[in-house]
Amino acid sequence: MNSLTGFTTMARIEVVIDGEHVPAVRGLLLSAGAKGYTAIQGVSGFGHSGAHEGRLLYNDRNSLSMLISVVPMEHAESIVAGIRQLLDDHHGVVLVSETLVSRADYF
Amino acid sequence: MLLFAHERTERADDGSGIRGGAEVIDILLIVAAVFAPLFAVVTVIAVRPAGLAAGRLVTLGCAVASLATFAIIVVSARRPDGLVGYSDGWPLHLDRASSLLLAAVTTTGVVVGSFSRRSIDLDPRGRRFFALLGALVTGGSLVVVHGSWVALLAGWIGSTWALVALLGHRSELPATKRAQRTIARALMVGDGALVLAIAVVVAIGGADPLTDVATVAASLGSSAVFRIPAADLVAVLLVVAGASRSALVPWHRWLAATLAAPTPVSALVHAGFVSGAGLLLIRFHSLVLNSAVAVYAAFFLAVLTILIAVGAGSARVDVKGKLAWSTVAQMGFMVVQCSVGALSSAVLHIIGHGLYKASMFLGAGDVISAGLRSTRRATPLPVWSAAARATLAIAIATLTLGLGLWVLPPHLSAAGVVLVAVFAWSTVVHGLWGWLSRGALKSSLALLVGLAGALVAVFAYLGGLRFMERFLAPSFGDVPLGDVALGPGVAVTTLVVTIGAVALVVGGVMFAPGSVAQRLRDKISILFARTAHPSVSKVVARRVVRGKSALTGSEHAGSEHAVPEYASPIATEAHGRPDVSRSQIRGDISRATSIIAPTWPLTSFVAVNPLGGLEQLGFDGATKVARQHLRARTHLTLDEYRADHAQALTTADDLAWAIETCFVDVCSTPDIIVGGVDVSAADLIRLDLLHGPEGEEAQEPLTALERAHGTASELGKLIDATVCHSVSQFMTNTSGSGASDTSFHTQWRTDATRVTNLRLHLGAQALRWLDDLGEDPADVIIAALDVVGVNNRDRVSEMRGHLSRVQGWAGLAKWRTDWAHPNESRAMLAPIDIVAARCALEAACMLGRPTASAVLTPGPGEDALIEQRVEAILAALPMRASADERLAIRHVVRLVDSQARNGCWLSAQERRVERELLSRLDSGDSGDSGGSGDSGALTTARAPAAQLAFCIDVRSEGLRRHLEATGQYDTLGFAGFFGVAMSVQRLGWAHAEARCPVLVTPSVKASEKPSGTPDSLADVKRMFARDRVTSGATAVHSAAKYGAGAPFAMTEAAGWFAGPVAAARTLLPSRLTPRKRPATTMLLDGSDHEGLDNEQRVFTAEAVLRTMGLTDGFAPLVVLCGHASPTVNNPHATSLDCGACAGASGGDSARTVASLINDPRVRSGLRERGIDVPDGTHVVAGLHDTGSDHVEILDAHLIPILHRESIAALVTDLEVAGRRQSADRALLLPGRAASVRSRGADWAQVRPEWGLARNTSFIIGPRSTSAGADLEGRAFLHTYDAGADPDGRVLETIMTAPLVVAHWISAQYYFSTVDPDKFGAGDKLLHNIVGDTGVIQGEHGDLRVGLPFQSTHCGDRRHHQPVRLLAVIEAPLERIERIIWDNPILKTLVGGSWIRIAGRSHPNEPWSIRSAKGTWSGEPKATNTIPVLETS
Repeated sequence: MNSLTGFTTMARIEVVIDGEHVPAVRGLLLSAGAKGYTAIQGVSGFGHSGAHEGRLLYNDRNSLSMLISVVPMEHAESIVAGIRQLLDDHHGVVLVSETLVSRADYF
Repeated sequence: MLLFAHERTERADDGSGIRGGAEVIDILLIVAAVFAPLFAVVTVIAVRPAGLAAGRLVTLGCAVASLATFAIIVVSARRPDGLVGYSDGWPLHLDRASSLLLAAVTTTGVVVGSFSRRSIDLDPRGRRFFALLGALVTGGSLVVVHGSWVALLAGWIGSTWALVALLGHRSELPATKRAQRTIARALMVGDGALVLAIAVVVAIGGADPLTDVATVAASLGSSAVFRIPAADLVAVLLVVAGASRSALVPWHRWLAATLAAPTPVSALVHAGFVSGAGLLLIRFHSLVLNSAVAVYAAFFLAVLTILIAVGAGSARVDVKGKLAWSTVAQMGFMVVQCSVGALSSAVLHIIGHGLYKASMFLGAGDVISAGLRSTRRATPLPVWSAAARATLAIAIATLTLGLGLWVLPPHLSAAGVVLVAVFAWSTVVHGLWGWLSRGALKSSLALLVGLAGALVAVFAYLGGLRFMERFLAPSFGDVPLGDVALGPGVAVTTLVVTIGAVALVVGGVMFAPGSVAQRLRDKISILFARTAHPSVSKVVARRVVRGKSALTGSEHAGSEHAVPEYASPIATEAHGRPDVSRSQIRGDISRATSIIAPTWPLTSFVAVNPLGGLEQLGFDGATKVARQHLRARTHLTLDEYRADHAQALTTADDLAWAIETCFVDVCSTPDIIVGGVDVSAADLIRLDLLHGPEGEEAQEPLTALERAHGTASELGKLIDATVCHSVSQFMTNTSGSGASDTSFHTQWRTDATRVTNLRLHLGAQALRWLDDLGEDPADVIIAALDVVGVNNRDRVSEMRGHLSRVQGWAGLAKWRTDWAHPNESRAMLAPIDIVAARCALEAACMLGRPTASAVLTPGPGEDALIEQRVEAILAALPMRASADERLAIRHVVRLVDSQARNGCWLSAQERRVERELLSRLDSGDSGDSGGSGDSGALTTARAPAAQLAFCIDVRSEGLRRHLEATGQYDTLGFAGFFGVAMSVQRLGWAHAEARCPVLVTPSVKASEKPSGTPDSLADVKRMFARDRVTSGATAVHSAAKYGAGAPFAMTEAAGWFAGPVAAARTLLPSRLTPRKRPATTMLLDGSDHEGLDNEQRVFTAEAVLRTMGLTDGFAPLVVLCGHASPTVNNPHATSLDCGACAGASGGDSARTVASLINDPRVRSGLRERGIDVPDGTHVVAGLHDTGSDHVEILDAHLIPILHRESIAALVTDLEVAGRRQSADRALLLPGRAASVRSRGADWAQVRPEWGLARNTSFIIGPRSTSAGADLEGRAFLHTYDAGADPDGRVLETIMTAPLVVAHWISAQYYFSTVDPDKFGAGDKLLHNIVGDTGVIQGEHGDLRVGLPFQSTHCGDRRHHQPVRLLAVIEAPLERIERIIWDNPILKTLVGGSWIRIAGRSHPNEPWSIRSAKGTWSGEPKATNTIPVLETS
């Protein structure tokens, strides 16, 4: 994958967390150097805390949300450090993986 | 005495002294005018009536006095010398000046008395309050009237005493006691000076107690006291007395301290009491004006006072604080007037200013709604450039004032004329600037109107002054015009102009735009911050200045250790890489903030669970954390539960059930034998619950400073005050200024070491340390925690400690970061900023300084408490216990946690509520209210005349019940935004506002459009014109109020209009009828990117109807009825509006959804989707005013003629139902039942309605479940038809949104009731609005959260019953269970016992109760599960 010409390896951080904690994660991402993120509301699934329904009709705060951000590798550690603190008290999942981007300065 | 006799003889020679037959009337009038309030006070003390009756008596006394005073003015006006009451041996008399001043005092007494009567209502201290109020009015009257010097002294000192005592109305508040001390100290100086002055006069003049000391004092001649001319000495003493009373330098700080008193007291103080200097200087003018030293002293004190007060006022961001400092400046101005001999002008000022300030204080609560109106209003572009506007304003002001002075020259000294000219000119300039800047009208018209307005204002002001001069000529005939002791007019003129110039500069800085001006504003703010906020422990500051420790003796106790010194504020090694550490700090901050709830601004007050962040811990876990980390009460006290038990709010059955449920394990232990009798563990617990002592949780220190200095350290309070001050300044001054990218931390770093008295605590090292702090708040926290020695493991707890000390502002910060709209104009404030600021200040105070470990005062240990509980149980047992038996009892008691007892009582109360409600639902009819029983269901066969959908709000329940009993109506309940998450922009608004629950983001926008008819368009034009003029007038007032030097003349003039308006609002409260708005329609936008195409509209309409359960069987009329509560002078007004519409009126949502469903294209689409809304059905919007129970039909012009008749019948029935509902509510509201429908329009009402108080339950099911049952307005009612929702989607929507919001409301009422100080907003009468954000209580402090005390209590009695929400659901139990398990929020709330659930699958089944663990059991019945042991 690294052999792809013109691509840069960066860290892809995916966080699945209760909607009410999205502002905190968003703040962590931005304060730690992320230039942006993608948020998906109403994520459904099944896990340790049971089933999660998708989007609720009149409640954007109490369904699961996913935030995805791509950051330089050197920023990933600090972002994850903050999120791990947060996950001490709350349910959630954080995934970090390598990803290739064509415009590194975009992130 | 001889001199006095001579004076009277001279008057008699003029034919105006002894008046024969008239003197009896004079005396009667004076007795009534002066002593009627005192008579009322004596009656109150003797008869000891209830508070309300005492209020009536004192108000009546003031009214009699006021009427008598006006009669005296008439009599005085008819006599050439204007004298009333000059009769041999009669000690009190008046001239025209004193008559006018007396009228102001007594009339203000009437207004304030009447206002207080409604605002104090059932306060148990009401009688004391009104007695003191009457005493204060009497004291003020005695000071004003001429005559006996004993009366003067009694009035002067008596009013001091009455005021200080009135300040102690809420004596339980620490701030009140501090304020009392501050005020007493300042006023006693003045009292002493007056006593001394009169003593000199009496000693030298030999006056007897009945002589008028002013007359004698004026004739002291060349007498001397210790070689000081007696006349000068007395004059200076009088100036000191007046300066102290009028808050002149150096006593200028006491007036702001009066904000700790209820609003009516503040009004009375500012309206009259504080004018003492003016009253003395006017009364003793013949003496003071002839003493150069006294006049110079008065003048310079006054000038200095003006300068300081203007600066201090500019540093305040709270409404009452600004008013208080404005009054101090006005008092300075009044004394300047007196010292230059402008006495008529001073009388005009005293009365005008008094009326104006009384009006401003009484109506201070209107600020929020006025701010909301202002924010909504689009800002028109100014018609000219700033230079052109300034030129025009100056030119017009100069021309009109010049013309006015030429036509109506004041009969004053040269200095007096300059004074009038300078300040009147400034007022006109600023007023015109405000008018032209607002761009209210087209340029030429605006100029003409401005010119005309300026002419009218100038001539009215000068005419009023001339009238006053002529009227008062007999009183001030001896005042020299060109030869005032102050000396040459040039010097005076120079000083006056200097004041004006300084004021102009200050004012210019205050209002000028741009960053330079902003920096200057900041400098001024910092300069005067300490003056404006002296509360931050002067005593402590003094100690530090003297080189002593700020700590008290007890705080020194314990072992000392030195906090290490740090060279760099950022210690990276201990924490790894700085960016990782920062992120960890931010993560910890997120965890720590779970301790606080978001606080919405008052412009859109939304109910929240104060412990919402801890919900995952369950109710017991969260309340335990709250007790430890917030030091809050989370339950009623045992005594309160026992009192409720005595009043049958719980029965023995409920208690027995609760004991068995809460203490299952303990109850299973074997019985013990006591005195030969078997006693079960449950019996012992019951006795403990009924008789045991309260267990108090030990208050652990929360922060490093608390651990070192104790939880009540003065230093900690000083830091709290400093942080609160900084945040309030930042939020008020930066919001809306376009500087939202500036964070609080950035600004705080600039001001941290300069702003307050805290600087006195910090050595050079600490100041350097603060200056070196990093730009990232996380770095600051890292550095500060290193200094105070907090390790990573304890970091979250430490942060919680900091947040809990400034809970209100931290809550606002949480709202700002987590909930505010991205475009929110309020300044950026984050919880991390607050923690950084407070953490750093603590660290700076402890840096490099030996500190002590506080010796905590241990409470009674757990063992001691258990022993007390055992003793209480033994005392209640009818038999004696041996030592072994005692040990056995002790063993049982030890198993029962002392705090868990409160939880057990709570469960017992909830059990009672549960039984009562389910029983009522089963019976279907519990009173004479009638009801349609099962026929109320929408699914019934009969055709209703109309179907009305109300909001689920508990206030709709009664109206629905009465309406169903009135005619053939079906009602249903649905969240008041009617299912469309929209933002709304009404005609004339600058922005759209959300009209949906805060849980959901608006997805569509609705706009108000003119209906298109010529009449409608003309009405819209007129409405815009009116709005522009109103906006311009508001701008004129605002500019003149805050402009440089402008307020002085403005208040003199404006008070004469504001006073009568205030009197009318108080004495004749009636429902204000808002001006009729033009005919318009509210439509979902469809043309822009946010708009909907027809398919989306159809989808939206379908979702609304299906969720509402309204898919067939449509009546000819379907009414969507939103609700609102239009109240005045109520900072928390939005808390009474529709929560489902984000704390706003539900009318807009109703109008929009009605127009959506009436759209033929939408109906066509609905038919294709299986919902056939017949052509003969029309959807109408309505608005339920929950304050008056009146339902208004909105958009009546859109109703087809076909339906007009049925609408008329519906309106009649709604009115009948509304009146019945009002009659029900009148039983619960204090005061007169007849006034229940107009309380909202009464600006004196602190309780316009009860809101959602007493709410207990949320019923989800068909109307047949609750129809006919009188639920007393305590249940949220949401319509749900399980048969029409096979997949449970609708029920899931209801349970995950409306039920969650209802739980927030329930929790907010619960916690505001059990701990009104920590979770509630405190006493409304002490509220002081900060910006448009929230309220503080008194002069300063933390932002208050939650509901005001008056929303949950009536007098000292609880009105709201604090129990957790009970959800009653008629739906298959397995469906309910599945929904709970599928949604984490419901698992948390139900599993954590925040919400209790009762359910049944079918109407003819018994109710089942769900336990927190998920098991369902039968409906609770009133059975004796535990035999009750007879006790002694």
